[in-house]
Amino acid sequence: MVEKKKKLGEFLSSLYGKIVMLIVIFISLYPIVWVFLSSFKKNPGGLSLPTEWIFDGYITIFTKLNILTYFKNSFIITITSTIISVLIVSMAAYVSARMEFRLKGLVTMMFSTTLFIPAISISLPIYQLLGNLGLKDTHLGIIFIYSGLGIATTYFILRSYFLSIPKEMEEAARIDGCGYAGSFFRIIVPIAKPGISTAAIMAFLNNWNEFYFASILLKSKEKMTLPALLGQFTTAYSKNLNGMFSAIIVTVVPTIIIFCLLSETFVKSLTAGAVKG
Amino acid sequence: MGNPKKNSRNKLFTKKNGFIFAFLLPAVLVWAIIYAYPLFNIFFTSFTKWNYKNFLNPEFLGISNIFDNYIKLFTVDRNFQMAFVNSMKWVVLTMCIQMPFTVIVALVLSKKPLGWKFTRNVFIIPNIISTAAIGLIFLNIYSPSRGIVTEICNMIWPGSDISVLANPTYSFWGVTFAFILFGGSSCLLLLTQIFSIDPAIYEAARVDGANERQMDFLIRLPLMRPMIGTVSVMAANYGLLLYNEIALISQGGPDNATYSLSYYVYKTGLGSTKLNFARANAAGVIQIILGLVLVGIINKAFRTAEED
Amino acid sequence: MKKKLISLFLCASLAASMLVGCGSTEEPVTTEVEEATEEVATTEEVASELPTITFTHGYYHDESEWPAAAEMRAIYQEFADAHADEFNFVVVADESGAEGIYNTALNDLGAGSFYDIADFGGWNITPVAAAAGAIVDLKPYLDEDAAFKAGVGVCYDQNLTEDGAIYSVREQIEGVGFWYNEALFAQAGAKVPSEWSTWADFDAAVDALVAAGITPFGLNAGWPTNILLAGYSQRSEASRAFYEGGATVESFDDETFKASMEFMQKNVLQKIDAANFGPGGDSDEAYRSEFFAGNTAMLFNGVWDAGGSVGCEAGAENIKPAVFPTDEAGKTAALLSGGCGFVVGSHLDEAQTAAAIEFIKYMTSPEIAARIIEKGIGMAPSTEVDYDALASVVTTDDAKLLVEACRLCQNADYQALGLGNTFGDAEGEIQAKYAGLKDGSKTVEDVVAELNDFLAAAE
Repeated sequence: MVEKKKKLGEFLSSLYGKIVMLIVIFISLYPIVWVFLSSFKKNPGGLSLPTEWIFDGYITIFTKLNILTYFKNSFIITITSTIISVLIVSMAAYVSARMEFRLKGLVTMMFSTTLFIPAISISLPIYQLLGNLGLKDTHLGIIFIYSGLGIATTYFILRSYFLSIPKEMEEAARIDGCGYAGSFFRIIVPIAKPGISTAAIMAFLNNWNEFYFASILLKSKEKMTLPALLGQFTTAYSKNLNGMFSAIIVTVVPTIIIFCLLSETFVKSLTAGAVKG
Repeated sequence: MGNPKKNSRNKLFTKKNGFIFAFLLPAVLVWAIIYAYPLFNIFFTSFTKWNYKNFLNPEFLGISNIFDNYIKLFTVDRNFQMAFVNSMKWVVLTMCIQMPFTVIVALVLSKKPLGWKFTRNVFIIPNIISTAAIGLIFLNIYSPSRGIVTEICNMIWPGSDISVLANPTYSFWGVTFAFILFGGSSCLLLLTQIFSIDPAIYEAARVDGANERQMDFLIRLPLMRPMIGTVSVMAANYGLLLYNEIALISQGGPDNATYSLSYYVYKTGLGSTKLNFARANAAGVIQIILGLVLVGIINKAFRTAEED
Repeated sequence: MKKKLISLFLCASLAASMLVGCGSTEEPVTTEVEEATEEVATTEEVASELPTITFTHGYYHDESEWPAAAEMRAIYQEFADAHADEFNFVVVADESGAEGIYNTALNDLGAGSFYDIADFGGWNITPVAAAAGAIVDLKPYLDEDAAFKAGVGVCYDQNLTEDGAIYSVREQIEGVGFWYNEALFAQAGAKVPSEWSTWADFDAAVDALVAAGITPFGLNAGWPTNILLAGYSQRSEASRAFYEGGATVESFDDETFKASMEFMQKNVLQKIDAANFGPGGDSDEAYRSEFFAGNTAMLFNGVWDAGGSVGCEAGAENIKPAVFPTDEAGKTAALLSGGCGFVVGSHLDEAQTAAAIEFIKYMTSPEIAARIIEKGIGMAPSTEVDYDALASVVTTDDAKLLVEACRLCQNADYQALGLGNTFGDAEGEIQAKYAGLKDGSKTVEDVVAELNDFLAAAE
């Protein structure tokens, strides 16, 4: 009887799990699946399957747009800025998690404020700044801005991770003759890999999708990133729905594929490195 | 010759300070360059008269009416009041819908049932897709002529002809559902935290006869708390700053029912022919203060601060 | 195993998509802009002392997407080529369109710079740029050259500021009346717009259409509805007077405005079902597509939509242009908005400014005006254009329609600016009220009160 009850419980909980997973899969996929199907329709939209499969949108995109250039731009900008941002912020987060110094509260406060500044409010000063530095409409300029944009999120994730690493680790290292910097790069960074990867993924996602600054700071078509390009579709392709739907698919699907391939590596490091406290 | 002991302590002291300084410097420098000036700029110009007539020279309002912009926001500016209420609603909704949903998904996936990796990767897809694309997608989904919402509503309720974005109430929810369920990256963070729990704890609990559900409530949830706090801050922040979805889907309409604070800032400053930057920046200051208060509340609720 | 297969498949498809992408990069894609800069680069070596001036415009669209854009680029380039020995005229297309040019100009102004010369395509940069002293007053140049003044036509008066300056003129204007489907009117037995005498005939026609089960028009919370409101506002002396003062309106508590909103609610918005009322916004074009699909009888859009009739399901032969009636029997009204177009930066030296003026003169010359109309791009501002003569010159059906529509607008008894040009930011607030008026959740009184609140808040 007890066995039976336990089995029923297990069944129910696995059913519950399955339902939750199905809901997740549905809400995550239906928008993109709908766009995918619609992109083959002559008059995109509606619930039905395409009656006649049209590839015009895709043909236009691959012949008229240098989609590969945009991917390359997005990659260069996102990866460089993610590396810079995670590196410098991890250093600051480590110091703030481990060392005692005056003005520590101020540093955290400083970074916190950045979370809530509307991008629109700072766009004018930032535009002027890049203009003065001669970095307007350059990849370097946008990389610089992106390196600072996610500063708060990265800082919080890393700081909480560093806090969860036992202090004994570096103390042991310090006794072995490692300097501060040495113990950070040789001991802490390897231990904090899961936290650093997580922060890197978050920064990567944010920068990859950043749309506002990309669209005001990058003017030349050959320098644009994918989101900036997509932002133009509302106007450029409003008369060509088929083209617009195809463009969404073309920019989004490779991103998903790349992420799925990369995420295996990322997530492996996330799940492997459990910190034992 | 002095005191060698004291000398070395001094040296150590400076070396440590030097290290702290060197490690903080790059991040603080980036902050200072990108944020410090804009922050001061937003703050000070919110006490000025600054619009298209004096675009290059904001004029201080004078001590006697220093808070003019703020007073106008709360007394006469209906669009701001609408934006304020909406943004608060969106913050609460992310807390009440997105967070619980994401936590439930993370708990389910943490047991690694069949297909969990697939689900995890799929869940993050809406977060990988740029909001520009998400905006376009939902704009089309809600379109009465080519979308699906109207069609589905007509199946359930023939002749209803619902146009999501043409009705103030529906439009608010239309914008909300274009982002609120997409907690994939938060879910990833929570999973990281769950997987970092020492397996020995589960073993001990299992020996004590705890079932999975009890372990969720007694072990996983309490140990996830700091990360739930961090993720909540990020989610609340997203709700508070909501802009792209509105700019692309509803453009604040209909009847300004979907104004958010960020959208108000845009519509009042750069997006207006009057270019009322002073008022926009006053709203920006309010937004920043709201954000800091929110972080305070969330940190307190989840005690993510250092003491934990 | 299965997982490996899947990832292999994904890799393969990724590689495939990249290959396709590479294939497209190999194709020589030379745009007008590239050609222009190359040319400049070569001439610069020869004669570097020639003044250089950069012109920025928003016609970046590919020819297949919007043929007018390619034609405009060709017009610019011909000017650059013709004057290659006098100055280097560099033509640059902004990929984010006129809106992008406007935003860049704002940001640039903050940083203390401005375009040499740019086409703002209706986005009004002049108040802020003029206040910052960054742009040139064109009035002296217009006053000394009668042909130039005639070429800019209605722009001269429309863009004349209170301080007596003209900061911008345009080579084309938004001529707006409306389009109707003759076949649907016949089917409903309704009087067609060309036979209308007053707005009462409009109401009668709408009722006849509705009775016949034909949707009279598609609308949304924006553009087409604003056109109709602006058109209706020209009906009487008092209404026109209120409308004209829109830029400096202090209260919407005006009898004519209330009557206009009443008309919009009862005689317009509530005559159509929810499916034909879109949310507004740039991509909300159902009101157009439904008209050209032959499902609605009227389309409130400008003369340029003559191009929409080509090969449409409604039948190009059924599409006819019209202008608005008034309440003065037989008199008509149209909307003609020049708006902000060419703006010249004040940082240019004498030779550069001369080149910029030369370019604007070229763009507003009768030859270019004729070309803009013949190619179906739009309506020229010049009052000198002889549409009757043009009608016999043009060959294609859509160009004929365009010429006819322009002729009607030009000959209308009353010509007014569009709603946006008149009311500025308040236009957005007015259009926000349509949905509430339509479903009856707002009364005209509510609308007036809310609009007045907005005016109070904006001060």
